[in-house]
Amino acid sequence: MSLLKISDISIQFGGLTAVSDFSLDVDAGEIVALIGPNGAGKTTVFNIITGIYPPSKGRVVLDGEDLLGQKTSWIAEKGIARTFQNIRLFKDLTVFRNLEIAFHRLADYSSLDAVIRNSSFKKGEKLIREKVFHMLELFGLEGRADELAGNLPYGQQRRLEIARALAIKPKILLLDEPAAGMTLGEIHSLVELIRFSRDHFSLGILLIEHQMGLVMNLSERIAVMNFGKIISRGSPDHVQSDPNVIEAYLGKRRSSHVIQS
Amino acid sequence: MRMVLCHMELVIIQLINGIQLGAIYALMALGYTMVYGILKLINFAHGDLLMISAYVAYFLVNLHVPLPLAFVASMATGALGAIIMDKVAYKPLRSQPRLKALITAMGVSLLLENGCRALPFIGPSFRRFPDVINVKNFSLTENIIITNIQIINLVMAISLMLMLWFIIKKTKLGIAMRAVSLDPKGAKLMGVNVERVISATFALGGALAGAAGVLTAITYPRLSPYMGIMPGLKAFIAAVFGGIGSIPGAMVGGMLMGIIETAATAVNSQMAEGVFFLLLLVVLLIRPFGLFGKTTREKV
Amino acid sequence: MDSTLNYQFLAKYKWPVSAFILTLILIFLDRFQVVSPYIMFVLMVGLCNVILTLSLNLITGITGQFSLGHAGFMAVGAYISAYLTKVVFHLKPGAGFFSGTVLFILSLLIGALVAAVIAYFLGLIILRLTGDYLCIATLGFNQIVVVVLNNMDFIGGPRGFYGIPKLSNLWTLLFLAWISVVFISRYIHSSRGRNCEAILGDEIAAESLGIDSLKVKLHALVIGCFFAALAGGMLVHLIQLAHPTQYTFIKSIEILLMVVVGGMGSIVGSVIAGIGLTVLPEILRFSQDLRLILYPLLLIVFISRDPLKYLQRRFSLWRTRAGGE
Repeated sequence: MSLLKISDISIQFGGLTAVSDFSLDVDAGEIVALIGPNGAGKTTVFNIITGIYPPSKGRVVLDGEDLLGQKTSWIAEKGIARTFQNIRLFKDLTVFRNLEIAFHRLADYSSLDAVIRNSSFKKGEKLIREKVFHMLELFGLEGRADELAGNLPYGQQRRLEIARALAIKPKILLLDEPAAGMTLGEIHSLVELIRFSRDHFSLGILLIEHQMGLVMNLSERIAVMNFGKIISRGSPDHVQSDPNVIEAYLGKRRSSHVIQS
Repeated sequence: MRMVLCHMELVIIQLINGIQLGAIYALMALGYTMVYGILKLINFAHGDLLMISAYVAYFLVNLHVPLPLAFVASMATGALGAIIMDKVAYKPLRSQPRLKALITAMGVSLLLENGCRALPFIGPSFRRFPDVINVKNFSLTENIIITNIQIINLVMAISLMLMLWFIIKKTKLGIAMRAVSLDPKGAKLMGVNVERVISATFALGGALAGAAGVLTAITYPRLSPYMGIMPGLKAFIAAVFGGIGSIPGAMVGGMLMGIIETAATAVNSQMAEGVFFLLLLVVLLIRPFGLFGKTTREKV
Repeated sequence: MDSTLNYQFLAKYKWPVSAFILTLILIFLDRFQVVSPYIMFVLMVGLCNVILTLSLNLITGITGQFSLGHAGFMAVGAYISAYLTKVVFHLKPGAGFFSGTVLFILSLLIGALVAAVIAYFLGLIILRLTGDYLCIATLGFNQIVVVVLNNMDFIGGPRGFYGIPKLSNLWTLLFLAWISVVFISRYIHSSRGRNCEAILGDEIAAESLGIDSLKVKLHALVIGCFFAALAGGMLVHLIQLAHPTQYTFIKSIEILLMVVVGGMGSIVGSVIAGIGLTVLPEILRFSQDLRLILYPLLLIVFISRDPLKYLQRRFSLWRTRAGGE
C-alpha cells in the first residue's frame, strides 16, 4: 500500500474535462515527476490533492486516510505540503516570519497564554525560533532572515517556499515547477536540495517540471499527461522513448520532409 | 368575494408603487453595476451623485428653468460629477489593491455629503422641491389610481434604460465597454482606449444617477445632503441581487427591490429596512453572484 | 549611529514606556486642570476610540478582513451595558467601588461577551465571503442592528436611550484601554497574530500550510468585536445617551478612517490616530462642518498617498508589522 494513492480522479470546468481518470501512487522516499505540455492538467491534479478543487469523481488517500472533501488546511495537517507555480510566499513579511508562520503548529499555547505571556507561551516561541534558525541554516538563507520575502532573488524565493513547505513536516511534498525561471547554476543546487530534502525528511515527492534535465536526473518514475489523461508512465528511459510522449510534445509526424525543411 | 377583490386591488396598488420606486433603484443600480463590471469597484459615492443632481434640479427649477431642461442639466451634472470623481479619486489608484479604491470611495461619499452640508446654499436642513408638476390622477378602476408623476417616472426610467441597452448592445462604445469588462488587458492590446471607456462608463452611470435624482425629487420632494445614502445603498443591494456586473440583473434587481420594499413597508414600515439588509445577507450567502451573475474561480 | 543604545532600550520597553508616559500626561492634565473639563472629556472619548481603532485594526489591518459592521457591535455593547447599569443594577456615579466600578465593568463585559457571541455566529456565516462582498455583508449586519434598535421600545427605540449613568471616569477608562491595548497587541505578537498576517498575505498559501483560515478569521473577528462592544459600553457611559443613529455604518467608516490614518496593521498608529483624531479637531477649535469635511479628506489622502510610509521608515517604533517585537 503506497503512501499517497490517487485513483481515477476527474474534474470538469464548465464542460471542459481538465483531468480525467487520473491515477498515481507516490511512496515515501520516492521522487515521482509529472510532466506534460502546458494546459495538460498537471497543476489541477495538485489542486485536487490539496483540496482546492473538489473532483467530480475518484479518491485521494494518504496513509489510509481519505482526503476527499476535506479542507486544504486539514489536508496540509495530515501531511501534504506544496509549493506553487507562481510562488506564493508572504511577500510583505520577512523571511523569518514566513518560516515562523509555517511552524505554527509548534505553538501549542492558547490565546490566553499568549496574552499573559506565561512559560508555555515563551517555551513555544523559543522552540519556533530555534526551528526557524535551523531551517534557515539548512537552506542557506541565514543571512536573509530579516529581508522581506518578496525582495529575495528568484532562486532564493523558490528555496524559501520549499523550506516553508517542509516546515509543516509533511509526508508528501508537491513541487509545482520548482525550476521555472532559474539559471542553470540555480537548477543544479535545486537538484541537490530536493534530493537532500527527500533523504533528510524521508519524503515522497511529486514534482511538476518542464526542465527535462532535472526531471530525468531526479525522478525514479515519471507520469506524462496530455489533455487531462496520463498517456505514459514508467522509468525515465521508458518515457523518453515512448512514441505517445514524443507525439504529445512535438505533434504527430505527418511527413518527414516538413521537419527537414 | 368582495374581500378578495379588495386584497387584489391593494396588491395592484402596492405593485404600482413598487415598480415606480424600483425604476429609480434600477437607474441607480445600473451605475453601480457598470462601474463594478469594468473596475471591480463599488463606487460608494454613486448615491451622492443622485443628491447633487437633485439639488441642481432644485436650483434650476427655482430659477424658473423648465423641468425638462433641468432634467437634462441634472443628467449632465451627474455625468460630469462621475467623471471628475473618477479622475480625481479613483484613477491614481488603478494599479493599487482594490481595497484602497473601495476605502477611497467611502471617503469621497462622506466628503460629498458633508461638503454639501457645509455649503451655505445647501446646508444641513431639508429643502422642499417645488411642485412643478400638477398632480393628476387617472383612475383605472374605482380604487386603483395612477398619478401622472408615477407615469412620468416609469416612462422616463424605462426609456433611459432602453437607451442604455441600445448603447451597450449596438454602439462601438458599448462593444468596447463589454470588452473591457471581460478582459481589460486584452481590450487594451486590441487597441481599446481603456481610460476613455472607463470615463464613458462613469459618465453613463452618472447620467442615470442624475435622472434618478430628479425623479426622486419629484416623487419625494424632500432634499438633504444625505438623501443619496439610502437609495444608493438599496440600489447597490439591487445590483448585488441581480448579479453585480450584469446590466439586465441591475434592471430586474432594481424593480424587485422596489416591489419588495413597498410590500415590506405595507406590512411593517418599521422593519422594512431591516428586511432589505436581511435579504442582502441571504443573497450573498446563497447566491453571491446574484440572479444573473456568473461565478468566478480564483486561479491557483 | 550614536543613539543605538537609546533605540534599543526604547524598542525593548516601548509598550510600558509609552503607556506610562501617556498615563502621566493624562493624570497631569486631569489633576492640575491644565485643560478644560471639556477637553478632558474629549480625551476620554479618545481613549474609547483607541480601543475601537485597535480592535478594527486586528480584523482589517492585521487579518485583512474588511468589516463595515464595527459600529453595529459597538451598539450591542453600548445598549446592553447601558440597560444593565441603568435598569437592572440602578447604578449611580460615585456610589462606591463595588456598585460604581465592579458592577459597571461587569455590565461592560456582559455586553462585550454578547457581541462576541453574535460575532461568532455571524462570522461562521459571512466569513466565507471575501473583499467587497464581506464589506457589504458586514454593512448589512450593521444596518440590521440599527433597524432592530429602532424597533426596541424598551430601550427608547428611535427616540434614543437617555439617562445612562455617567460611570466612565478617567481611571476606569485608562485601565480598560490599557488592558485592551495590551491584550490585542500581545495577541498580534503571538502565533495567533502571525496566522492572521498569513491570511492577509495569501489565504491559499496559509491554508496550504495547515492554517485553518476560517478559524483564524473567526478568532480575529470575535476578539475585535468583543473589544468594539467594550469600547461602545465605555463610550455610552461617558456621553450618557445612546441613539440608533450613532451606530450606522457611517460610524463604522469613521473607525476605519482612524485605522487607515494610523496605518493598517500598526498598533502604535492606532493609539495615536484614536486619540489624535478625536482630540486635535477639538483643540484646534474646528467647527463641526470643518471636522466633517476634514475626516473624509484625511481618509482619501492617507489611503492613496500613504504619507505614513515616510514616517514609518524613519521611526522604527511606529513599525509594528514587519519588525516583530
